[in-house]
Amino acid sequence: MSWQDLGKEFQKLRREFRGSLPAKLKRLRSLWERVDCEAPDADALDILKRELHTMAGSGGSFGLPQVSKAAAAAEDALAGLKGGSRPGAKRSAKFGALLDRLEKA
Amino acid sequence: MDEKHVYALTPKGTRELKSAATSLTALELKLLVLIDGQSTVGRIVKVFSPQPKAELIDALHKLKQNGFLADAGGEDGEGDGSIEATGFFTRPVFPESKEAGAAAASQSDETLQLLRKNGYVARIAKRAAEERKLAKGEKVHVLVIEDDEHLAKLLRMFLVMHEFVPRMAANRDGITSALRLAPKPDVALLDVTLPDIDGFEVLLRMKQHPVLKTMPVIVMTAKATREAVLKGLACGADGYITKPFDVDVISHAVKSVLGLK
Repeated sequence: MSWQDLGKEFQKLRREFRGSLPAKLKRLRSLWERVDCEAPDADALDILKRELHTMAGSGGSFGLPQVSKAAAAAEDALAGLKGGSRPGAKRSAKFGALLDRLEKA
Repeated sequence: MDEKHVYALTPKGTRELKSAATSLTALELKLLVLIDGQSTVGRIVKVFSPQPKAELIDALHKLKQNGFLADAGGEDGEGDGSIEATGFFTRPVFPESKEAGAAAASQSDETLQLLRKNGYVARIAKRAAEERKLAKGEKVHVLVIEDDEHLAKLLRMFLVMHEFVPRMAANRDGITSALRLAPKPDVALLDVTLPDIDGFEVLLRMKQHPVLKTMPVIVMTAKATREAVLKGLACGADGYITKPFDVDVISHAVKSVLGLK
């Protein structure tokens, strides 16, 4: 594989990564619905945090720093929220807005 | 030494922490990370409890003698509580706001808050004690423990391009299977946020294993807080790279810990 091929492969991976984002975002929203409800799911919160963390780590490596930034902000917004606890209205609104920002990134 | 004494990094100390390779011991590195021009010796010693105080004081003296530290406020020191004095957190992942920057410069606690909030990049890898030359046809086997499929693909591709032999694992079972294969990997790249096991636990187990303990492990994580970096180093990591990263950094770190040119 030449360096030119590597560049092409990178672009292909970048497209793949970008293409995977809508499904990932859908999953994040679905997880959030399981957290922001009458009976909050502690496992869903753990998975949500981990997936946001992963997205924050990978976005920039694929040349999409705005994805990293939005995912990191969303992860940060969950800090201090305990598994099984329902997020307050303020946190809920903030997190929802951050997911919207992630969608636009 | 007065426990109220405060040290600051010198330009040499800052350069050492920002470099991708270092010859300092793990203890010296950990001390250097904590030197911020504001923390007293007493406070730093507390962080290392129950490490013998005399050992820490000796290490601080040695760092000072070798020009990595200076008394805070002196002409040689850089420590003014600003972000640049906080060790090898070399640059923000995201540009900080002017207001945040001003707050960080004013108080060390606020600096730490900012580090937590914004995330900082750490790129550090120990330099192997001895230079290693590969025999003709010899390849370096790299175990990549990464659960993000896209990032894993990117790393695999990049390692192949650099003539390394990658071996991939994404979870606990994958790690076990990959480690059972011969030959033993020369080095491991470890993501610490894994779906079914804590990467720091994997690191600790590797460093306690009779055969694997000599294998250098480079931690890759989006956890860029000072505490996370210290945890990685305390667990025995040979390198610490925060995500997102440029893949070139990985190659540099792998070569550094293996003593390759």
